[in-house]
Amino acid sequence: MRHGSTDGRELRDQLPLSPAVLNILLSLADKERHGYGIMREVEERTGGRTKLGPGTLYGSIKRMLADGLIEESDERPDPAIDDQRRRYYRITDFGRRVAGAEAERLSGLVETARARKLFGGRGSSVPEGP
Amino acid sequence: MSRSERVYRLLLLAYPDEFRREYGEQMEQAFGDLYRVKRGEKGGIARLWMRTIVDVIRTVVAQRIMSRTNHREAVMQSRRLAVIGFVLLLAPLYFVSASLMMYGLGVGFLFDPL
Repeated sequence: MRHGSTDGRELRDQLPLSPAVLNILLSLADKERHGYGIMREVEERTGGRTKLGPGTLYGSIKRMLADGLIEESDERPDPAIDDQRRRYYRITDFGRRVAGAEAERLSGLVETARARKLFGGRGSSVPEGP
Repeated sequence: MSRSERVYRLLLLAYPDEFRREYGEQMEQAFGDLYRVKRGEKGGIARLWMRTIVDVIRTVVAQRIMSRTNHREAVMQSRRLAVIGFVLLLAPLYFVSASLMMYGLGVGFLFDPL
């Protein structure tokens, strides 16, 4: 099992995350998955708008392992039916904190966009808040 | 193994050796899984190949740049280590020769008049 070191690593150094990295973290937030499982979950969750190819997926996984955002897991959800060659990945505590910080950053941007009435398409027709 | 999977395996050769050794098999497996799903859809294989080619081109370039950067950093690191090693090796020699010279001067200065 490989573990990325997070010692002395600043959380904010990781931000902003690329869409692929954020999607992988979101995909691993609820359970461990293998590469194809991540690809399928991202595609389903985004309604097919985001499709990670194997190159993008494993290029991101390589970087995320090095940055300590995810780690390989030795546990296999169902060894009886599972292909032993598959590698499973799980989010680390550091990865969870980084994903949370990115979500907060994006939320701030959304608030700014809302305040400047950029929501609702074509930059107009935004219902006023209470 | 299907023809598509064999072609994809060949495309993997474009990635840097280190990356391919680490993730090649997993990528092949993921592509195979995608292929088996898309095979059942009308035009699925064509769409799969279109996005796969874009994915391969983009990520081969990225991994090659990263690999070259890492290689350059490794070369610079080894040069730095060589310089430090050289300095560490020379420092005792310098110290010994300087001490000998000072001793020689001291002896000459103190005892020569005698």
